[in-house]
Amino acid sequence: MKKSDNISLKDDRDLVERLKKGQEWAFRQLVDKYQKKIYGIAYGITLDREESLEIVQDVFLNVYRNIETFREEAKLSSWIHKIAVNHTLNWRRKWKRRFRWNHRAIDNPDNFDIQTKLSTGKTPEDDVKESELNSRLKICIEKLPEKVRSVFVLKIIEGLSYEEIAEIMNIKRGTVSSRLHTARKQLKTCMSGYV
Amino acid sequence: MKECRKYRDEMLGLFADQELEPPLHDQVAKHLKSCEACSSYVESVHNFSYAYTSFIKDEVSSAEISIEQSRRMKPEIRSGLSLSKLLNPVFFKRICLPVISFVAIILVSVNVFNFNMAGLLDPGVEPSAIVDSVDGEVSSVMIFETARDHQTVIWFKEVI
Repeated sequence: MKKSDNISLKDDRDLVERLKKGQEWAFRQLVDKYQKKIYGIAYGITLDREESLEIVQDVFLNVYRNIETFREEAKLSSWIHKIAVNHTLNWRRKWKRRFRWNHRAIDNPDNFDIQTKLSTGKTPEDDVKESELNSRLKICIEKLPEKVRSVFVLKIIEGLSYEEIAEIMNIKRGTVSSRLHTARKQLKTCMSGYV
Repeated sequence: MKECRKYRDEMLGLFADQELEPPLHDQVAKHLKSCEACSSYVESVHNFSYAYTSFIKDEVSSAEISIEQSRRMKPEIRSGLSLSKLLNPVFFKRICLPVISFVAIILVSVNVFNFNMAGLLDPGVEPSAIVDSVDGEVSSVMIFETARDHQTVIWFKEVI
């Protein structure tokens, strides 16, 4: 384990202790540390901004209410990852059951704001190319099954090992490998000509 | 580009993710130096990872994530000592239980003390007060209070 990992683990243990005491500022610290991470996971799976924001709130409420059940020998980040992934997948299942079809935004199917990209200092042509790439990538990711997408997010965005992903999703290491392979194979076909 | 059948794509994915054990990892690394097809596949794996990471990072940085200010979160955080925390086993065992036990001991002691003192000071058994009495055509009812324990007794008599 790296030195930075040790420091992070110690910080997390201290944070958990303070959360269990009900200290409000400890919760603020938890939110600051993990909100973007959880949002990244939720968005990586749902590809929907509003849904992802709701999920992030739900995850934090869940963590806050159940912090007493957290076993201190486990890693806080792994526990939060688990809650985030399970919550995201359950969220989708709940809404799919209610509506019986996938909800898509009607204003902009790609739901991608080109304006925000123009502030990066690149040429307009670069921005358009990047915008097209991201739009296509989003379409291709949406075609992946949710369980495959979840593994892909945890590997590529969170940089977790196969063992960690297997533990979080309660699957075998071999399953992690095969789902990643499936994701890459489908993306390669879908993105041919773009990447 | 000539297709290579030496290593399956899944194996190359494991290599790209650094999940292979050292001897096998080194073998694959050596093979990639001379195989265009396999090194092209590994490069595409990295390219997808980079593109996807950039895509998500852009979204995370552009989304206005403000969890603490949401209407759902504020009351939950501010309440601090919520009912769920009061009922949680650790809090209950360490704080509530000793407090409840102490209060119970005090109450029992006070009652026992009163009981004993009442016995010493006032041995009489006649009623301390008649609360009410009703004489009817069919029956008589008297409600009175006992001297020592101040218990209410309802006395009924049928008129023959």
